[in-house]
Amino acid sequence: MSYYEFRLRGVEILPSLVERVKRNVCMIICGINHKIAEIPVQSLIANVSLLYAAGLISKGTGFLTSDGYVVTAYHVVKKAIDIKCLPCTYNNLLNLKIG
Amino acid sequence: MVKFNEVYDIAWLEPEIKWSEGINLESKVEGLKKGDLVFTLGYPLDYFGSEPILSVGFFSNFLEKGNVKRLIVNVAFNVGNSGGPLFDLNGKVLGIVVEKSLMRDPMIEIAFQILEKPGVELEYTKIKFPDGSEEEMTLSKILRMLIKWIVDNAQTNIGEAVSVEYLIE
Repeated sequence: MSYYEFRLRGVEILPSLVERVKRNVCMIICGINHKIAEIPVQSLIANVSLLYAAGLISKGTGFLTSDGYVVTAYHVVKKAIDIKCLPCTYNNLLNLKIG
Repeated sequence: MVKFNEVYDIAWLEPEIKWSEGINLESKVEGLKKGDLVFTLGYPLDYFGSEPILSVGFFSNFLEKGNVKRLIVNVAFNVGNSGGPLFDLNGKVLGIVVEKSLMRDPMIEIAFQILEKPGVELEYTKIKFPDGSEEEMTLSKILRMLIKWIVDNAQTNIGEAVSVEYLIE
């Protein structure tokens, strides 16, 4: 198989691959000065840009590993006092242990 | 958080439930070639949809940054993609998204630091947040928000991911 064919194959298999791995990916939302729990979820979603711009929340992505951890970038959660995640296959925000 | 490593820019957190089987991590990224197709899934910018957004591109090179191995990729990373997994075409995690590449201007960074502790403040108004709290908006805060907004929204299509090997202990 030529390298060009290999790359074309990649484009073909991508949709099924994404379907397979996406269930492990989650949104990470961190409260920086405020606990997210104090903000209603709908209000949080509607005002995410304002809250982010004002430095009250940070937002990132994470993923679940087979040993049960959610891994993310440290700078996303560095200043957090409250961390939650929203997996794409799950309807509720989950708490993440902050220690 | 359960544990973190600031040098590698990785945090490990413990969810209250394990909602899926999770991804098996392998420590090797050898064999990766310039031009190999890679992708990430994430929640960039103010996207708040239920499913993560796909960003696709190509592996370009390895880079040692402060003794940490990073993967340079031609993938559109944006604010909010940070922490997401970088996959290859076998669904194997190659790294963790940590930043988009931007040209650093020391003068902008100095200006940003000055604005954090300005000598004179000029209050314009107060803004109210969804939880009912209020915060005064000053000239320095507005300027800081503008600089941050410009940096956050700059798009270079070149991004960096920390190698997955730092996740394996």
